[in-house]
Amino acid sequence: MHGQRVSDELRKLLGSDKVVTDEQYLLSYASDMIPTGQLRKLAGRLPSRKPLSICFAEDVEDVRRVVKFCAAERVPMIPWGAGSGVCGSNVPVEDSIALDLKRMNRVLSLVPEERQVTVQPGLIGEELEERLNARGLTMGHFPSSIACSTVGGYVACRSAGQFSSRYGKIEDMLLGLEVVLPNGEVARLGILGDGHYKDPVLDLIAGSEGTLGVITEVCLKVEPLPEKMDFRGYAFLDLEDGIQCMRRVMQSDLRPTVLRLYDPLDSLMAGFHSKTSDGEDIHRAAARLTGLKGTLAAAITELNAAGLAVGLFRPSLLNRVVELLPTRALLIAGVQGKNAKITEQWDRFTTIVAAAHGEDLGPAPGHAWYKRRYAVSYKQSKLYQAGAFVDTMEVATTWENLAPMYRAIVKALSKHVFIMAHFSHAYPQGCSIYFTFAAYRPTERSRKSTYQQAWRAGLEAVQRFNGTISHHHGIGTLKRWAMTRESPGGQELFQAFKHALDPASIMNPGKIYNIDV
Amino acid sequence: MATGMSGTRIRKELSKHIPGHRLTQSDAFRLVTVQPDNPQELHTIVGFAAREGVPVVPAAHATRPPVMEDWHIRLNFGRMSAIVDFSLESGLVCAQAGTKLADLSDWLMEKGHSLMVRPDYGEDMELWEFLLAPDAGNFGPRFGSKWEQVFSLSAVLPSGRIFENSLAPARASGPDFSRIILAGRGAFGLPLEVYLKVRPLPRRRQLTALAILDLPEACARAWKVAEAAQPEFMEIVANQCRSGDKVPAQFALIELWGERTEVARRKELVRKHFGKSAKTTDVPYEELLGLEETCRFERGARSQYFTDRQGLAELIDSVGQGPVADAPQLRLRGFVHNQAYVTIERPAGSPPRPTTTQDLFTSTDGSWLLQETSRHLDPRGIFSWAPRVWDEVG
Ligand SMILES: Cc1cc2nc3c(=O)[nH]c(=O)nc-3n(C[C@H](O)[C@H](O)[C@H](O)COP(=O)(O)OP(=O)(O)OC[C@H]3O[C@@H](n4cnc5c(N)ncnc54)[C@H](O)[C@@H]3O)c2cc1C
Repeated sequence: MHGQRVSDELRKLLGSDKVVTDEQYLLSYASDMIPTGQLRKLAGRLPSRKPLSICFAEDVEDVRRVVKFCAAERVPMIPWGAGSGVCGSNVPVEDSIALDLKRMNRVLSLVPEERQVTVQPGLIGEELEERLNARGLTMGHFPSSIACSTVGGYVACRSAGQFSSRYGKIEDMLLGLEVVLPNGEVARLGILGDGHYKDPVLDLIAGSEGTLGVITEVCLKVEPLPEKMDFRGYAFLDLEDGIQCMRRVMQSDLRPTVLRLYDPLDSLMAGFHSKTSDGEDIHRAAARLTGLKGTLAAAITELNAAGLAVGLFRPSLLNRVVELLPTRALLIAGVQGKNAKITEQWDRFTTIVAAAHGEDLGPAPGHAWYKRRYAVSYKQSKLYQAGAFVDTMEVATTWENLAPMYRAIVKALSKHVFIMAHFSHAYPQGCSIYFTFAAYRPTERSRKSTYQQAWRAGLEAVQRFNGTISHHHGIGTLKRWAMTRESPGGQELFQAFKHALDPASIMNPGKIYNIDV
Repeated sequence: MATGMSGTRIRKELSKHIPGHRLTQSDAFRLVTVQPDNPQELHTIVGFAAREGVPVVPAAHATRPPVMEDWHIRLNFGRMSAIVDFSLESGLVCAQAGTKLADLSDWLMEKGHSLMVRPDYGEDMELWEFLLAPDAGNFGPRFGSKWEQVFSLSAVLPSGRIFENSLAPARASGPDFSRIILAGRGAFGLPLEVYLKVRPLPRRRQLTALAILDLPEACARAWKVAEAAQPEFMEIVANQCRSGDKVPAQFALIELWGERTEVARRKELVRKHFGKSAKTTDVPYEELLGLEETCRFERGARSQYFTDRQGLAELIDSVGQGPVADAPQLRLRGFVHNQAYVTIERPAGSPPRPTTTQDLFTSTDGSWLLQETSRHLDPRGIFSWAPRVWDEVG
């Protein structure tokens, strides 16, 4: 069906106030926050494909109408939350419509005694958290994007927040879902249906990135707000001591609110050090080591645009310099509870940290992190303005494989990009590593090529250790090529679900697996 | 969709694919038994079955096999019983499908470790069987269900392809198909090698048995007990069939693991939150536990389901106070996230237990969705018999 006709039909179905076809809207719905989309924009080029129209659903009936229409007319559709995804999971790969769910943003029920909240999918995380806080409760889910992402998007991508060591990932909080299936039928799962909170079909929809249905209701468990939270910093001369410390904490009965270990460079970038471990001013040390004074040193110690452009052009040199900087790895820890409980938890931390040769830096670094905990992600625009790109790779593995996998990834990537990492989202059995990498290239084509080489090298290194290629951002189009090794046989199962539920392949085609229905 | 292939032909064809294997044929049960040695052989066997449309049924220990008219392949996992990996550092063990739970527990015990879930049907069960059985497994507020102990798994799909997932504590790489495989009770795939979470044996294991004095009150309070004390295992048994003078008819069994002081603190919380609705009994924990085992299947119809606080209160109300000769026996577990897991054994003479292909966790809509999909995954239905293995328990 021709684009104009699709929009006309949708207007008839939903009313004209719910269907938008203005060019500037369509352009802004052409991509999520995947860096390749940003690079294209900065190069002044239009996206290769934009949606035919954008529909704004206001209730489940609107969603059903759109889905049924798309199934009947074989028009692909992409569910949209807030578009903060970073893997291209709502980039159209065929002529499609975008179904925006942000008008479905109500809290449907909140039962404090039962610790449950049921919401519509388009509710922004921060708004939900504020509503819960007013009732003395918390969701416990704090992604850096909390102000610009939706509950439906969290579930669809298996998101993780900064306090996941205590509260778990979104799938651990999930108790029930309502989903509009690709045939327009409504399925109620988990405790929103007649199932259990561990209904396995919740695990099918969580992480499906809009490929198996549109989430229209989400029931989450909530927790009482903690009486108090407290944070501290610890330093480790050897990163691996820091890793062992995290492992021991997670395998004890402690349930820390936060546990994040920054590798030396990430500690530096996050502004935790003004001095090296030898007590030298960090700027002076960087200048001395590089011999370049000003620019390259600035690239390392500040997010200085000019410095970055020069420094990121030679990532291997920059990585080498950073290796030479004698800095330490910083561990940020947080605990919560009543005053007495907090003291008791810090006492146990002291024993574990000491056994791992760590140094207690007191509360200041911890509280400083807490204050700026959402800030770092938003510094990236400076880099783009400088003509560089920056991206993040969040992978995970067992404790046993963690340090070797970290080293292998750093080695694989450092030829291509400037790289740093922190270890967060820790579990008794393993942990995730969050790499941030950046590079500068003069042309869009060379930028794209370096970007792709970096991803390929990184994910191949992960797969040599049997780790996962995504801990919480999802797959989208970005990591699809690596799925055959991530989960051999997974494609066959995915294809069976697509055949059964979405034979016309209308639901966000081309994402997660590259399949032909 | 059956193949119509005779037993002799199945045996001949299979011996070409896996030469040197002893294949036994039973004309009475119309089956050819195979004992694969490794995942690669399973891939070959199931691949053959898929091409020829021969049903494949795993041989379980705790159940009677389904009676089938068609010739089929009976898979015996007995030779795939190795422990293939153990990581002290990550708290993980990887065992093959045919590993007996008792052997795995003993092996772990020698290493100073333990599984975090108690098998229900006795320890003769093999790992694949334990994971796929519809029963929820004996689980408690602390560690959750048996499925929550699965870290990663490989499985043979109905096409013969081997499914695997990465080795990580959490993933965002699409849907979690390992959960679907477990929920499918065999229809989506049979587990081959499974990584399970383990933990060091606790310094102290406090087993507490309480006699319940006021059942409705104790059940209402159990939610708070579970939340505050987080017992490793907790169950409430009501109208116990062998109660006598000494043995209480209604009791709670609670298990707490940990350091001495921590266990003592949690035990106190248990006492505090049960209040006057329960009191310590002289009858040892093990005796009560064993007692309950002996009563399992002899009273007639048995059903299991999950219910919330209100549903549980209503159920207890309907059962009434104290032991009644023909009242159903109840076992209540879980008490996690507003859900309790109820097992009711009704007296003999009640209608027979309805067979169910739905596992206890899955919603009706979810079950429908799984059934629809299994038809596409396995168009000739070769694994469709696997879930029926549990229809004839005992
Ligand atoms: C600065 C920044 C910081 C970030 N920090 C974090 C972080 O700390 N932790 C983290 O986990 N992620 C983080 N992210 C990534 C992103 O915020 C998450 O992936 C988030 O879950 C996406 O939510 P969204 O509402 O923006 O979804 P969108 O980007 O709109 O959509 C993402 C995917 O979900 C699908 N989808 C959305 N809503 C529905 C629905 N109702 N039904 C079915 N499918 C749906 C879409 O089709 C798409 O496939 C960050 C992103 C940015 C830009």
